[in-house]
Amino acid sequence: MGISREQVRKTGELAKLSLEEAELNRLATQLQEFLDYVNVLAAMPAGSTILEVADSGVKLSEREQVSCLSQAQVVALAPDTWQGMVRVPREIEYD
Amino acid sequence: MAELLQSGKLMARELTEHYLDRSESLQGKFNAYITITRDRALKTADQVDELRRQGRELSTLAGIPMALKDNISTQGVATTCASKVLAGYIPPFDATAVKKLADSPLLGKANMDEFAMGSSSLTSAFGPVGNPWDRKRSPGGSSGGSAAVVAAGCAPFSLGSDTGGSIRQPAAFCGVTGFKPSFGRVSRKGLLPLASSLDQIGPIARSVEDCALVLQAICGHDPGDSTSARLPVPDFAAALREDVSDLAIGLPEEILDNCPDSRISAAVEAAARELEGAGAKISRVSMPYERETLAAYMLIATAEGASNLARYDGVAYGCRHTSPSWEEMYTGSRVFGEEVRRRLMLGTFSLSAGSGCSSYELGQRARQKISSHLAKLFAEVDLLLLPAAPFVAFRLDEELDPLTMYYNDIYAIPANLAGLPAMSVPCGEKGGLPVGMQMMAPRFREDLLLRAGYTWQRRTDWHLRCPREVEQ
Repeated sequence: MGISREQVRKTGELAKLSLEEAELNRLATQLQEFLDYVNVLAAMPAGSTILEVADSGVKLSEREQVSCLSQAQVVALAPDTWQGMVRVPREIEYD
Repeated sequence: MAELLQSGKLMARELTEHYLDRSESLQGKFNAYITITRDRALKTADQVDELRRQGRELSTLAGIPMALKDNISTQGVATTCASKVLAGYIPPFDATAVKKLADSPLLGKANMDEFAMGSSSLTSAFGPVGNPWDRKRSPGGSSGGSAAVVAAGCAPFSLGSDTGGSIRQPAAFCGVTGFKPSFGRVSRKGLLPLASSLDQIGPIARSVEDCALVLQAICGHDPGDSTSARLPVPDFAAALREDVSDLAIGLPEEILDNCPDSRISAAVEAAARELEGAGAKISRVSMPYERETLAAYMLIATAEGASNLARYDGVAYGCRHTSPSWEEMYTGSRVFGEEVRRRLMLGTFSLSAGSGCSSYELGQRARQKISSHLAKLFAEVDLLLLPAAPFVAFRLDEELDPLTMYYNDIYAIPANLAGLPAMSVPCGEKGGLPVGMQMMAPRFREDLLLRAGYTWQRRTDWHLRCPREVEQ
């Protein structure tokens, strides 16, 4: 399965990475090498299944209250704040 | 060291100042730290000395200084994951493992591969780390700084993290002992995650005994980590006895026969004979799926990494690229290095629709197969003995292609895929560079590793050797 520049570009968009044009060819080559390597898994003997949690008999943990950060502590980490909230670029344009 | 502190013959401040001075004097040579935390270390040391003066009972590790890999959250101290993306990020809380070591003065945050993606400690945004045995060589990775500080005598112990060998391989490259606990033994709360089904925090120290002491302190259930095992912590010190007469140890024949460096496989075979002389029963076992193991790991670790690193978007913390556009803010803030970008691309691709045979699910099915095979092996033997890495420390200027770099972890990865405990101990040398061997045990059987490793280190002195480059 060959990977195209367009697939690399699309993957970069999904990964929220800014890719230069020069990178596209290099990444396409490197990704292709990885994909050729992992292709060995397609030939692995059949029979391995993934158990669904409901079938596995695993008992889920009880919910336990744990301590967490306050809003002030979280907002203190933010690059830009406004009135106790994290400020980000405007998403919705109002008429 | 602990006995001297407890008896009062040595003060924590004196000990901490020694390690701080040494760390600062060698920092220019090896670049093993990202941040040295002198004030915090001395404050903790003084507190410990005062508590001892008051006659308070303290933990065994109280006053013994440590270093922490810089992907482990430390309240009030920068935690960067060796990345520009988190430059200046100061966590508002300590990781659980750090809280459990509150009485150990923190010498500093150790350098590493960016976001723990690497086997060389070359990809750090803060410059590469040098190996104390030869500073023109890599200390391994991604916990290269954590291993280097112990090897150079800059810290009695450190914590690293291991997703695909990142404690064990650098321990092997630096001639020290590195321990990856079973998945779930040590809380991952506060460990900035790479792959949530593979990551574990573990100790690096000069000896199995020291690792046992640290393990005792950091293991245990944590309700703040949903993957934390609800199991009591055994008395690991009780496992430290010189006796392997009841142990069956398996040597994976495919790995030893195909190891690219015959000196490494010879050192492991020699170690097996030594343990046989101590009473262990040695046998050859079959451990195929070498390529499948690496392939499964590449798919799973990169996919989980891509998911975990999606949080670094410039919104709530870390680096933000200022822009009126959301899209540009996201992409401009994600200023990762080349290796991280490569892995994010592979991981994102394998999670995307239509990825077919490269999918995450395929990796997980292979993982199930490999884990089942290991479980069958452990029905026959108590431990597996194999090399920690296929190479000794490579030169920093050696340009290894990405696949070859991933191959560094080939022998370590099975333990991560199956959630098993594994340990790397020095077992030889090649051209003046350390060779490490790895032992792997069934899940939650750290005691077997500690017993076998302790026996090995009582009968040999590889772990006592120090780099010539560094005066001890």
